[in-house]
Order: sequence, then C-alpha cells, then structure tokens
Amino acid sequence: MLKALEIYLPEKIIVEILIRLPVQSLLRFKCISKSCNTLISHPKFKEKHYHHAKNNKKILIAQMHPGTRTTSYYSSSFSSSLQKLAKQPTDYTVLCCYDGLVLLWHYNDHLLWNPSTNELVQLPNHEFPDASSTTYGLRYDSTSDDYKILMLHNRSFSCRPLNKILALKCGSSRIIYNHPHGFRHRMGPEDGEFHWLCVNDLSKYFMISFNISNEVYGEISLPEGICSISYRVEVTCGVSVLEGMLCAYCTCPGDTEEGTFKLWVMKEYGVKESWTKLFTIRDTHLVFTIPKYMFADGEVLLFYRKGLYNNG
Amino acid sequence: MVKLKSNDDKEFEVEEAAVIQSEMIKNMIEDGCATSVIPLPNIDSKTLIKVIEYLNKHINMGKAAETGEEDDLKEFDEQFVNMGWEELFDVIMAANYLNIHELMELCCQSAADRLKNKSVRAVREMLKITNDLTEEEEQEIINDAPWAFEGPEIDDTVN
Repeated sequence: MLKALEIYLPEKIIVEILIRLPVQSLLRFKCISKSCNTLISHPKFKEKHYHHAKNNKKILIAQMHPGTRTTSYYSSSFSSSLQKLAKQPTDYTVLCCYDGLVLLWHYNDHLLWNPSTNELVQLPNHEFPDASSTTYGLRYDSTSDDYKILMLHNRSFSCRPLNKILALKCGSSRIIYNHPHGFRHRMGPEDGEFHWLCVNDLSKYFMISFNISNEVYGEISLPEGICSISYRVEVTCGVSVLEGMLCAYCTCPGDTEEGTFKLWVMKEYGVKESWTKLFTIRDTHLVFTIPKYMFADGEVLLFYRKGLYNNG
Repeated sequence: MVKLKSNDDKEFEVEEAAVIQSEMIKNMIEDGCATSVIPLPNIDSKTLIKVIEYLNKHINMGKAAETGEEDDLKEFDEQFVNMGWEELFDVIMAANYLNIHELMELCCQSAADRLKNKSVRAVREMLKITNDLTEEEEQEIINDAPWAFEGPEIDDTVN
C-alpha cells in the first residue's frame, strides 16, 4: 500500500508510529502522498487507531466562564500538558460524554461533537425535551451498531416520568414506559448499560440499571453506607464506573463544618457483598465530589468542589 | 551468556536474562538454535550497542515495580530516545526485527511525538516520501478539515 515508503520503512512500522498520533496530525498527514491518504483513510487503520486511543485515555476539560456564559475546551492525556482544542463550540454546554463523543446543548440546539475529528452533527431538536429538567446519557448499542441517547426526566416521584430514547442512526425517538419512580438522576457510564440512582417514597436511594439493547430495567443493590442515607438536597449521591467496576459515591456536607466524601466499588457486578469502600475524605466546606477516572495503580481523579454555599 | 554478531562482524556477549526480552532470540534459544554465535544481518554494531544497553537496563523489569526503581527506568527511557532521527529509525528497525515489544513501543512513541506537530512538507522530508498528489487532490484533503492545517504549533523544520 505504501509504495513510496517501502524503500525506507516497512508499512508495519509506519502504522505503529501513525496510530500514536492525534487525529489532527493524521488529517494533515493525509496530504503527504496518495499512499498515506489511502492508509490513513482505511477502515482497518481507523480501527487500529481507535483501539490504541482507547487504551490511552484522554479527558475533556470544559471550563465555564460564568460572566460571558461561554465554555473553553481542553484535552489532557494525563502524561502531557493541557492542550487547548482547535475547535471551540463556546456557546454550548456539555450534557454528557461517551466513547470520545460529546453531546452539547445551547437553547434549542443539540449537537453531537467529536473533539478529535472536529465533526459536529446537528440532532433533530424536536426530539429533545427541555434540557434543564432532563438528564442525558449516551451509549453505544452493539446489537444495532448504533449510538443511543437516553433522556430521563427529573420529575418528582408522583409524576409518571417521560423517558425517551433516541437512536442516532435512524434519527427516531420513542417514549419508554415502565420506568420505576424516581427523580434526581445521576448516570454512570458503562458499555451498553445505564445506571442511575432514584429515590423512593421513603426518601431512600436505590439503583436502576437499564440495558440499551433490550431496554430492560433492573435494580442493583447499593452499599449499606448509601442505603442508610435519607435524601436531602445538599447530599450528592451518584453512581459511575471506575476501571470497569461500578462505583457509588456520596458527599454529605457536614452540619457543623466538616463534610465527608465516601467512595465504594462493586468488585463483582451485581453482587451486593462485593461492595468495598475505597476511601473517605473529610474536609471543611465540602460541596460535592465526583470520581472521574481511576488510574491503573488505583489512584482516583476527583472533581472536587469546595466553598461556602452562598458563593458556589 | 549469548553471543550476538552485528552485520559489520562485531561480536557482543549478552546475559541470557537480558537477551530473552527479544521474542526472536528467546524462540531460538528454546528451539536449541542459539548454541554458537547468533548472526544479525540487519543490524549494525552501533545500533546493536544501543539495543543491548536497553536490554541490560530493562533486565529486571518486573522487579523494578517492587523496588521502587520505576522512576529510574522512566528517566533512562527518556534519555535513551534522546537520539538523532535516523538513529531512532535504526533502533526501531532492530526492535522490530528482534521483536522486542517494549523497545518498539518506546521508540515508535518517540517518533510519533516528534512528527505530531510537523508540517506536511517536513514529514515528507523526514520519512523520505515523494508527493504524488495533484494540487487539486491536496486541496480537497485540506478542505475536508482546514483546522488540521492551521495553528501556531505547526512546525516546518526537519529534525
């Protein structure tokens, strides 16, 4: 395939080097020669590049500027310094991320953004409920080979929630029923499966799972430390996924000065006994904390918010 | 000890524990084909010295994590890839031939880091590729993603 390079380097080595490059460089290097263009555009190469990138995670950092209500975007690969992204959809707010794709929102506009390739796709707006009262989740469904957006309406318990699913390929949405009562959703990212917390009539938390392929709901037990908490506005509980394990976390701002953050992981999926507490953080003026990523050595990256309530 | 011979007829003795990081030589030893000197017709002595330096340093990779020498290894790796562009490719070719996975990863990553912000012209020169695209074809590729061709970080120097 790479005729010009054969004299100097075997194609295998060129591929080994190119899969380590960011998409921006690759799009530019298509211009090197015909054979480079063919190689970089080839689905096999894209697959290899995607696989390599998946093992070398990057995080997207969106910084909101409260004054101008605009957002700046950066990427970080943990090992190198922060990089400002080439394209900046500044007017938009991030609703959710999955698999390198970002769902953005601005008034009546919903966009799906790939920050690596800078592709922006406008989504059919009539399909979306009001963003301020909705929690969004994006997943890949391997059964239908499609990305799906789940929209959960944050209403109080007494109302029948109107949850919707939007399949991106066919661009159609449906309202899904039989949703257990609940509100205040906070979703965790995981392949094919959504997890979120609900609150029952007794103000206790419980966890819902929802399979994106067969659209079946389930319930997964929470660690005792969360089951025992009663819902209060200032308490933040949530579920997420760290290193492939389901995790649950909770921030209780202290009644006096000191607040606590606790994090558990479910070592064996679906087995209540396997919930293990990772750590507790005690700190003054703790507002809320969200675990974002777990490194191979077990260190956890946290979104950590401190401060007095009135100044946010 | 295992004896290796470069293509310019120089012989090197390497500890077996170090040399078996090369899948190719490990297989030769297991098959009983490494009783005398192993000739390496694709690798010159200058490159082989670099490769052996790497193998000796990484001899106890598994132990490094326990003894806290990881930082030391990381520093060694950083220094190790600090070499000329041509030299780097000689080591990549040798690592590929000898099938030394970690060395291949290290050097390809270094090559990628050096190419990342290069201009199209610079990469052509660095990889010795002649442009066979017409001006129209080139423009078409640029029009698909003009943002990938802009930015203060794009570097037109060859090094």
